[in-house]
Amino acid sequence: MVRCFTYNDRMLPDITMKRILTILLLLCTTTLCTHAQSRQQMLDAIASATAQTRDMECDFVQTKNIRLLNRSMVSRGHMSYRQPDKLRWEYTTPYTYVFVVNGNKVQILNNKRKDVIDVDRNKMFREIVNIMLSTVAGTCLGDQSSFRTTVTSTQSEYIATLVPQKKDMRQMYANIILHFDTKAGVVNKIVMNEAKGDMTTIELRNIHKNRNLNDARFSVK
Amino acid sequence: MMPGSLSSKSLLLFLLLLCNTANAQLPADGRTIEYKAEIEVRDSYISGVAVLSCSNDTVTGCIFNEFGVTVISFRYHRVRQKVRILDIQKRLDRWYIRRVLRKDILNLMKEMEGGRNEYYDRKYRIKLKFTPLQGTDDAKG
Repeated sequence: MVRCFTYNDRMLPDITMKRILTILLLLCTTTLCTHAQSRQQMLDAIASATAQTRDMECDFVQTKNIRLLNRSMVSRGHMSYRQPDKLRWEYTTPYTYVFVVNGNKVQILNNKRKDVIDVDRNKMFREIVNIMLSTVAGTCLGDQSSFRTTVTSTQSEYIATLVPQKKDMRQMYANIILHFDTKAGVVNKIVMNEAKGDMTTIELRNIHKNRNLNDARFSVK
Repeated sequence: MMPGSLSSKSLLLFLLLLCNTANAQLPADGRTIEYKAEIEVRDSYISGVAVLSCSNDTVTGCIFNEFGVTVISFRYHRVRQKVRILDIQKRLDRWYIRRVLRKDILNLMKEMEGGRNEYYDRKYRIKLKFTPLQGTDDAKG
């Protein structure tokens, strides 16, 4: 004897409904599993490529979009990076400004001024250094305590959207978007959307990897 | 003799006023100008870029650091001689900081209208300086 299940005044056999539900459940699970594997595969691919980048240097173009004034401002410069904690970020226009990170020390060369800051004692600089090192190297993607990450892909790149989880970072940024060039194996564009609506885009150009960069360029005195 | 010297004095005063206006760091013609912004607070030093949009009535400004992080946005009303803070970084958003910044930015704007580009707050030992940038890349967003 077959019991009936009533739905919208139509009588469907119980056993048929169970089969349909089972198929749907399997379909959903399979789809979720596929997406989870793709996301993890992308993250693994990025992690693997960034691990192989011992050092890197490039030019950059930074565009700041000022929502209030409906205006953009462009800065240019040169960047050098060496794993895991050395970075030289040098602006050449609109004026010369050099920011050197070497471990827990930061040196700023600005006009005729030279300041050395201990990152461990300065919360604001610690955050700036963490953002810069982790976005350039792509290591922020694995930091689940600091960012919630979603990844999509196109033919030539992975695009990771990071939403800050910690209060201090959330007050500054709504999200940070990294564009990862799958062929070159490096981050080539960073988009930082501020919480209040301004946006800063940094495009990395003429990227060269693993050239055994000189220690002197990361020196902090 | 008197009328001649009077008219010479008037001419000199007029020329001085003209020079002052010509050297004014804050035009009133709708232009947007970029400045290197430097703020020294006792032992600390902060630098960045200030972008000021200058009209007849108001100056709307945005100050951000070299990495593009916005620190403060404000509007200066020329006639009412008042500064209103439109937006400020969370860590600076305290009533006592806003009060000092409003007063210091107001005084800096007045100095700039007079042709100078810096202001020193003696009470809190804060020095603000805006230096016009040459040949920057900028565009309407």
